[in-house]
Amino acid sequence: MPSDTLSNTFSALADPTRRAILARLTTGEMNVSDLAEPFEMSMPAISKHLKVLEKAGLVERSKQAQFRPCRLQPDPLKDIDEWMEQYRRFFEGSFNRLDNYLQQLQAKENNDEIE
Amino acid sequence: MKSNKLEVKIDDNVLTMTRSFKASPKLLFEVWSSCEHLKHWWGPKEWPMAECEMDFREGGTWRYCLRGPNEEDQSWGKTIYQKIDKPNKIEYKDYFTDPEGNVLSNMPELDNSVEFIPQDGGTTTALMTTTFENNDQLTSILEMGMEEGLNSSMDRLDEYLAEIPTSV
Repeated sequence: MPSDTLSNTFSALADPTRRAILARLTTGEMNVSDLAEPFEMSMPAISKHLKVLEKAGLVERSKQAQFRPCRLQPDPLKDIDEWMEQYRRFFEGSFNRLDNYLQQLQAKENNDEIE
Repeated sequence: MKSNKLEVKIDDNVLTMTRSFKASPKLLFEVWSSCEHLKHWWGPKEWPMAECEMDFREGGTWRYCLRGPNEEDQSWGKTIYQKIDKPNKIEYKDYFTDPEGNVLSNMPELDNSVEFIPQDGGTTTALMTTTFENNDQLTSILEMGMEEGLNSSMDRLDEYLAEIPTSV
């Protein structure tokens, strides 16, 4: 798990404007002025948010095209998803083992009482 | 009686897992608080606990290593106990560390607790919570998936999000 990306992703997602930008990009790639349209925010402010998203690897900008359209890059989000999945699996596995272990302990306790 | 399925819920910045066991709170507390017990169950079957050192008291540390199927598979964890209320609740911080015990700074530090709640019929529910430092870390992920419906490359996340409010 690329863990440095994980915390970058977390902090990039912490801002509601950046989340709204990502949400807008789920509809397809877009240049900055189209992207900025629904936001009551200056272009430099939007660009600043985009830079944070780019740095976290959540947004890619084309280098060639004149308007450098922005595109959503979902891999870091999948890393978070994977991390949560691992966390869940860890405990699911552990708790199934704990069921068996508790049974053993209780059986032993009962035997001790009988003796 | 509640089922013994693991239930995962996210509420604001808190990830909650609940699971019921056929045992008393006292016994659950016990199996949660010594290496002797934990080595029998902590970690998935394929990743058993290879090393364990515990100083079970407020401010004390638990260090452990889980080893996986391949020789290089090892995962070191460190827990620092914050508050112990026997046999009801344990509050602790979790860290991922290297083999020397140094905290890996690029991994999230987790604020955790486990509570043992007695139920009818001799069962006890273990309620585990993980609080994320940042209020938005978790909810942001959910909002994005639920409000906008992400494209096909996000299918797995969508499926996962759909599962969250109910039992997993």
